[in-house]
Amino acid sequence: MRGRSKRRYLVFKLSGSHLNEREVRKLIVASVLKYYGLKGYGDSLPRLAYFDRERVAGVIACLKEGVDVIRSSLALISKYKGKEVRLETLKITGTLRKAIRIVRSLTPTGS
Amino acid sequence: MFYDIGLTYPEEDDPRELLREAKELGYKGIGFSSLGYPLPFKALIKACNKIGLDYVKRLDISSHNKVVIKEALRKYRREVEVIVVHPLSVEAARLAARDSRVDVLNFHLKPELFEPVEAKMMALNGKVLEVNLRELISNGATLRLIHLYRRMIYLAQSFKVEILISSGASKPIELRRPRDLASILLFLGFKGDFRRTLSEVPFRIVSTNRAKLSKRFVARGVWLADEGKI
Repeated sequence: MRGRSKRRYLVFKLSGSHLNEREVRKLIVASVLKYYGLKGYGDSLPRLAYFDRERVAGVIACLKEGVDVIRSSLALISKYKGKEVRLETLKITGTLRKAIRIVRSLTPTGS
Repeated sequence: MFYDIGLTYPEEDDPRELLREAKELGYKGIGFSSLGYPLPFKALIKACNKIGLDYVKRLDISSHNKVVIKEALRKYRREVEVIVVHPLSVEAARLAARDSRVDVLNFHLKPELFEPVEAKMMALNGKVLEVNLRELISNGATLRLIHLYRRMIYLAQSFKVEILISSGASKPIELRRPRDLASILLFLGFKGDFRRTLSEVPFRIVSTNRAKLSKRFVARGVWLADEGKI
């Protein structure tokens, strides 16, 4: 058995429609499964680690090898329930603390 | 330094919104596809300069007939910075792959024309293949579409044809950050450094053609030496 896999933290920002944490989580999982299937999901293991409603931004934790899988899955999201949305990756960090700090430094836009 | 030279001109909305968003997302330069309508070049250059973007003058030619393509190339080559041909017949595709005045080929109108012989000719003549991700981003991926894109990228990489990607966005929400856009290539089976397709490849085409459009260019291989320096 190998040791614990290295993780990366993707800081993302949501534009377009306002979604809540549950909807964002659903959207991310659905997109990874749609474009990369179970294997891609297993190789990247994405998890919504943090979400800030005010800034409509958050952090996705994933395996280091799966960073590009998550990034492209987010880029391919264009609609949610008929409304136009965009999830953009702002930064990739090595620690959750740093990722959260980046989210908190963004200007609040949401409600 | 990222360039998206395949945006779609927003006929109804104000293009300045799109330009501002492109700048904010980290693009250095943009260009609009001119397929189907003439673009207001002067107004666009002015708007881009104001925002701090580099505007790339691009001309799109689409035809079945190679005589029409040749005529357009003769007429516009010294006026625009990038020429993209959308061939609609085999003879038009072969001409575009051979002609040195053509920079980029786009096969989205007739994907079946991009086959091994064409890819080989394009690689030999240093032509670039444009992959416009508009359909994939805005309409969502269908199996047919994914197959089409994957085939195109597989063929291009097998014959070492360089790839240029563009978002084809016509609204600010359709734009993607450069690295996000390039990462979509990974999903389409691209192997290698996918960031080059948005930075090095378009930048090289634009800078080479700008140099050719300058007064120092006389003919192919003949350049004026710097004035006053012996």
